[in-house]
Amino acid sequence: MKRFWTVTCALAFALALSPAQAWEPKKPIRVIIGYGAGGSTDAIGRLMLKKIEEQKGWKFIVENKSGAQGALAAIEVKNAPADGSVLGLLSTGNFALDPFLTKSSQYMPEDLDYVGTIGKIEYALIAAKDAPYNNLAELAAHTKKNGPISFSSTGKILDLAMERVSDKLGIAFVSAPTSGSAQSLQLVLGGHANVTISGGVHVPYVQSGKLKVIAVMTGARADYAPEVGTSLEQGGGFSIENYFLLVAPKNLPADARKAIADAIDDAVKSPEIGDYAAKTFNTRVNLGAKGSTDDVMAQSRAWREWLPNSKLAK
Amino acid sequence: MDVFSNLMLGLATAATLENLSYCLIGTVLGTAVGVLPGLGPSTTIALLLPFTFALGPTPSLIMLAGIYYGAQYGGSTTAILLNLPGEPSSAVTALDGYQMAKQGRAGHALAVAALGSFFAGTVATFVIVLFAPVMTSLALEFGPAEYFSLIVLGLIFSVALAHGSVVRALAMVVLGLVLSLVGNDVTSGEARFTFGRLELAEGINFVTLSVGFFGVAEILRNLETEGAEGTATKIIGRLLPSWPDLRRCVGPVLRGTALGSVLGILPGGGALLSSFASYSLEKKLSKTPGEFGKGAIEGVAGPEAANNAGAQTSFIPMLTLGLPANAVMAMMVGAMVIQGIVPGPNVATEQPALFWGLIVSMWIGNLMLLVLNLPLVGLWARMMTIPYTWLFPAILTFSAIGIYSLNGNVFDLYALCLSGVLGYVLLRLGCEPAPFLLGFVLGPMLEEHMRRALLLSFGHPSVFVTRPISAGLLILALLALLAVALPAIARKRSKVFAE
Amino acid sequence: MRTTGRQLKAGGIFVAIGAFFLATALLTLDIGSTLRMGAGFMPVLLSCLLIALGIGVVLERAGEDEVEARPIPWRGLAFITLAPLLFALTVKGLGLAPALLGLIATSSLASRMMSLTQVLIVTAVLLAISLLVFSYVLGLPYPLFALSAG
Repeated sequence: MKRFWTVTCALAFALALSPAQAWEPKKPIRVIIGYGAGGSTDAIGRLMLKKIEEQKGWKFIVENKSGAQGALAAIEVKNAPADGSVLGLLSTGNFALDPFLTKSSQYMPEDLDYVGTIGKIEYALIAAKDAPYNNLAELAAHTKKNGPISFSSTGKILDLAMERVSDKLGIAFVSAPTSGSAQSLQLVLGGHANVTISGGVHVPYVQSGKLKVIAVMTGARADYAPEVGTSLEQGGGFSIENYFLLVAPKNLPADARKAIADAIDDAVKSPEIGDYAAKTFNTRVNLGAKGSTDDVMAQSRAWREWLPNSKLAK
Repeated sequence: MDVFSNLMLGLATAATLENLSYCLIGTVLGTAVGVLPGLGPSTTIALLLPFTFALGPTPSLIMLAGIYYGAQYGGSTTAILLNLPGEPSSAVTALDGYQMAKQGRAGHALAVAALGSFFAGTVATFVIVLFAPVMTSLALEFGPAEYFSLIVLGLIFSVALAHGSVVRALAMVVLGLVLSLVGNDVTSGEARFTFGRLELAEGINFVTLSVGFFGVAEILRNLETEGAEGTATKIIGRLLPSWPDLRRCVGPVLRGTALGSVLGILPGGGALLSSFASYSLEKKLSKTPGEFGKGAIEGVAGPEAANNAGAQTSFIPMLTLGLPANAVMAMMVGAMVIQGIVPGPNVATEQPALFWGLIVSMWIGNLMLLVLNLPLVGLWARMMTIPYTWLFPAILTFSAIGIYSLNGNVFDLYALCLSGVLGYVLLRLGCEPAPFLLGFVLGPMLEEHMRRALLLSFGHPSVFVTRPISAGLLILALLALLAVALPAIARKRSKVFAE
Repeated sequence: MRTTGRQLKAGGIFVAIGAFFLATALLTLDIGSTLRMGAGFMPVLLSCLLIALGIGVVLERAGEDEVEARPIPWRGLAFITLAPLLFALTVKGLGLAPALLGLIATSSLASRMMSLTQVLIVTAVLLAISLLVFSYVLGLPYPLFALSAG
């Protein structure tokens, strides 16, 4: 009953405010998440959808399709009808980088519409507490003297980020891919690998003094380690800008696109998403439909320019 | 904080009416979906995850944990009654459990599985309470080299799962390893043997192969003899096992519990390895190894205890390191994150009520499972008296829906047909499916850890023998290989098993 | 030493599968070196091992249970394979309910012992149970009838 009134009020309010009739989904919206259930993308995505359900009275059916590093989900969204009945939740790297890493990608960044972001993943390069280096310069000096360090990598985008920074500063490393950030963290905690780039899960270990941050891999310093400089500040010349990104099939009708983008924006602004992002050490940010499209295009151009220099990307 | 006050805190948390009811809901639901072939705990938890938003962190985790071990329990039931292992560890239970059921001793198998699991669960709960910190550091000691050697040992053990020819069992293990290569290579990201099909990018589905090689092959096997004899099984003698039967299981259960408690802490396959390590061990220790695979009660009791103890202690790395041991735990980590709890070293100190409440609730849940299921044993056992002609369309139907629901892909159903036929043909030719399935499950880990170990050691293969734990495990594997190969060389192996 | 037909067939299957994977791996994958393994290293290693074991199965001394006594249930084999295929082909186009009907009816035809009445009973009962369990209780997100859904 309470829900009924919330919905009615929300509807009445929306009708009163908008001069033209606002777009409304006619049936529950299918949301295809390109990561497994329970992962960080899944968690923040479901939380946001729940918020939209509360605020707008829309309904969502969530499907997790984590196959082929998100490519299956991206292709499914690309091929879905462009009427607002299907959305996808992936990350920037899935569109700006992944299609250029395989010879025969079945989707390209231009094939989809981007409707907004929920947050930005805060990556950091971390090492065990007793490692004999504290910043990128010391790491470079260390590898010049002692030979390469081992880098446990969770995903191609982190591999390539490490490669870009290392090329710039002369760090020698060997990359060992793992299938999850928890696994990479275990390798560093157990002393099996020297460093890894991690997006949030490392923070409790930094706070409890088991791990330390060598460099923050995103644009701004982190609250939990304010004394550590970003890779840009340390001369690494690259930072990772990876967002939880909402996508839709290409050429969504303008009214549907606007209604969906607005719904996302309202949900991302809610205190719940703010609290949640803070607790998981990510930043809440919505670039909006235009902003996220520009960002994906800019990042994909940058990757395409740089990829020929890479030894790790084949 | 001392052990006693921790336990009291846990008991106070777990024994509230709300938490008890969610524990009950979880275990009942878990058992129900575990019984349905194909629909494993991960599908269920994924379906239920949204509902946990509304609950607090403690009840939602208690419920999810309940689903997890409830499903393990239900899975054993299906493996015993229908020869349909829904997950790798039940493949071991199916070996002797199903044979017992066919002989009319389904009740014995089910009861022993329940009692063994409960005992193991109880012991493992205390292991968690007493040794969690120590075991955490042991889990961290295990690097890629150690995992590689442990898996090699496990593969050698799995030969013991078949009776008859060692060469055939080894060939089946390697066939499993080869088929596990299908899909994207974790290390390079390159697609292998996918022939352009995106459905194969994540590899062939375990449940598909398991249902094909065990379930469908068994249906066809039963259709061979149709009409020649009564296909319905009669319950022989008493429903529940007798004292002498139970006494035979004491040793296997104790050894299984120990194996499971220790191996369970290793994320990725630890609990699974323990269940067939236990099977191999019991077969080796038995005075009548020839009975194994033909309905030996020890072959059910030991692995079931090992598996349940392992399922319990696999919570240690999740709770203390945030390291999920398997897909289900990954979802539980997700549920914790959704509730705003960041898994990791701080959970036990920052959320003691949640931490200890969950642990105590696992014991309560195991007790509930026992109380709920022992009376059901009779009902399940009577299911075996339904004529097989009526039963197999149901098996096939539930399997097909279950497999379709895994990914919503019809491709998995084509794979089911293919693996059913291949499994049946191989079974007719005397090649048993259990070693194959274990090779298939362990294959990706074998390669991943081997390549990771070599990368992290900058290409020095010596890493496998210079690290003491790894070297020890490899020596054990060599001894195990000699132990299975030597009798076959020395004398006609079939004679050994004819006894 | 005597080799039975079963050994030959079993060994043949292993060798054939091994050869197929070996050829595919050699043609499509980068093998690399022991120092830096490519994606093809393990496939080549394992498929060679499978071929070797397949040959081993053929050469192994035969056990005494090496007889194929029971006939192949051709009818069962046909219907049991057909049933999931039929389900796969119809579930997207027609919906869950009709696809299930086909699946259950086809699979119950696999047995020679079933009369038409029995087939009908089994089909009706199973259809009701599966729809109840999977669609209603578990709420799997598949439409019962797909023709109406857009």
